Amino acid sequence: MNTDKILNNSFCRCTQIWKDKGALPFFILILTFLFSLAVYAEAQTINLKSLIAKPETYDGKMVSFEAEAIGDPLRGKKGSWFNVQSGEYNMGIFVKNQSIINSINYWGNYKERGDLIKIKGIFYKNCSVHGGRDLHLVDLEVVEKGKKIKLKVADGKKRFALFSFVIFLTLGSIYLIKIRLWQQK
Amino acid sequence: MVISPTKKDLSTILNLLGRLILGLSFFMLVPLFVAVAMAESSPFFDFVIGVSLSGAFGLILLIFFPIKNEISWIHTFFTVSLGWLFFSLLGAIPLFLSGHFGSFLDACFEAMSGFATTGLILIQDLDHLSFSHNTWRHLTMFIGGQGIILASLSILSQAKSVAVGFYLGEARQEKIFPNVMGTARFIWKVSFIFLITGVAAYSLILSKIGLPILKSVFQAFWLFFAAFDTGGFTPYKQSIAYYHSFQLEIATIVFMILGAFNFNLHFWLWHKEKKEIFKNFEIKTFLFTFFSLLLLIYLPFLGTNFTGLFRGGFYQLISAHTGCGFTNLEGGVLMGFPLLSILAVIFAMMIGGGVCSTTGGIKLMRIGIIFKTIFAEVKRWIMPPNAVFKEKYHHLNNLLLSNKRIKDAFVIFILFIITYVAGALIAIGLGYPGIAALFESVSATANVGLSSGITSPDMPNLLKVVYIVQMWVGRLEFIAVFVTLGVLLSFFKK
Repeated sequence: MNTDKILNNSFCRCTQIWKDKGALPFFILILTFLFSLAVYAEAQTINLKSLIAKPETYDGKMVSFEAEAIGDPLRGKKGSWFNVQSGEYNMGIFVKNQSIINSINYWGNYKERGDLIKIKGIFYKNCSVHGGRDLHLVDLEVVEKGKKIKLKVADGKKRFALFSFVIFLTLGSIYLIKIRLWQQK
Repeated sequence: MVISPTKKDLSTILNLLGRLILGLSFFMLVPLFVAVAMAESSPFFDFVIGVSLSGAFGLILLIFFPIKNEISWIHTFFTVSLGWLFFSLLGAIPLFLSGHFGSFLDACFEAMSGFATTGLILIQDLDHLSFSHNTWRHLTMFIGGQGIILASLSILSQAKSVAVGFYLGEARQEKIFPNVMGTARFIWKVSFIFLITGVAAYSLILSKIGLPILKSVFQAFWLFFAAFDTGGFTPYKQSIAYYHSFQLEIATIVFMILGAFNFNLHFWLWHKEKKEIFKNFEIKTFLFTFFSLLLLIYLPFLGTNFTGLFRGGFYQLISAHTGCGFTNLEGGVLMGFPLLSILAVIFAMMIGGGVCSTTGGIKLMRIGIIFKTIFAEVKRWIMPPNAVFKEKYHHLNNLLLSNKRIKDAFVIFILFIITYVAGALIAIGLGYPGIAALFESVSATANVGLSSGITSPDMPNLLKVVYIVQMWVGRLEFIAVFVTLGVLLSFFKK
């Protein structure tokens, strides 16, 4: 009986405070604080290495990390895919809206360094739709533009290539002469 | 009595080795042309150096070591064993020059992994590798898979009598035609037809998912080499998972299985009897082991959806059983499986595919014979003491389960088990967890290429050397290596 009374009283007091116009800004302040906390938790900024090392910690959660876009954008079922790399770690990113990835200009390959992008999305340790580990993209931002890689050949390498090729040709000639001599014998 | 070679024998062996190395130099022209076509200047010089050094080395052997006596099986066994080692050393030159390897040992590891059709990798930043180097990595699997020896013989052969020894030396016990050159030609013909089909299928799928046409065709070639030769290299670190394509996964399964089939069976199905596929002993053994292991791998996954089951279990098991080593799972996911599933993958890798195929491992025929022997023994115990019976099995013809066949199967089986365990113990000694160590040791010896994560540029050099040796002996199925070591010892004792 006492508990019911206390609960009833608390409910009445809450309603009273809510009705009181003076308390409204206080509630708005609390709500704003909680909302900003939620936003912060929504996109935990991590790196790809820790995401891959502790998948269970981030399973089903909104995460954010930076990585290089590599390869090519790929068409998939009900969306698109692309892959990212950070150090020795890679991951596949699923995108429902193809237009989001149009902002990526450089895709990493032998001749190009891909755009460094900040990815925000929901990470799945074992995605129920695609059957594996992936990240469903929510937002993408190009942090650093990629570029064409300047490919220079070291002079030493050129000289050594020429030197070894001359040796190869010389030995080839000696061998051919030797075969001719054998055949004449 | 041990056959001990003379200096004349060594000269003959080195001459044969020189011919093979010249063949390797010829193959390096392919990535060289790719470098020209794709305007890759630094890789162009890498391959000029590779072609020149390996060609020069081959020529030195040919000039200074003429054939001095009649070629016998001992020369060919020797040449096969040494051939793989020298191919790895010389094939590593352009890879090392690419700048994607921490050391020359790492590049040798990668080259041996390619030639032995294993698929374990030590390359760094693979996703930024040039077209030409990627072509070379995948071509090593094609050369190793179709047989270094068969490939070189087709180009260089002058002494056809040598061929049989070469063929047997690289662990292909069965001949398709009485003449081994006929066998070689048949293997090349079948491979070429599959190559056209495979490349067309892969190109279509890859261009459909959005790859540019040129990239699709290149990657179709690479993936075909990797699937049909059960090698397992891919141009991306994520392996097949990079493509996120169910159709590609199905297409790779088809060619992985075709590559793991006995070439004799291919011949039978093409030229003789189609029904052989339902009667064949190796196929029956494959179905039995595959579905038993599938049950084992799936038990912990019960309740998940079809995509999860396919990606989680089926694909990995096919890849492990055929010795290919492709994976459609992102890095590290496989070792997060329950222990029972990991054990199923390990057993599948241990077994491998058909005899006279491009796979490694104990092989289906031997596993089948061992099972049959055990059942025969049980039968013998429950039958009347004076009953006489003979066990048979069907592999192209009806064959008797003879004592020689049983002995041969058990010898190779035991040698594989010892090597699997020895490699695992060394890795455990170096501080790696037991199950991961066993997984990697089996993967290296059976030339599979799936990784528990141990194989990385940071692993100790000792372990890199151990895995190189395991890939080498596993590919040649011990005997050619043992003969070489034994004969070498006797030569130095003299």
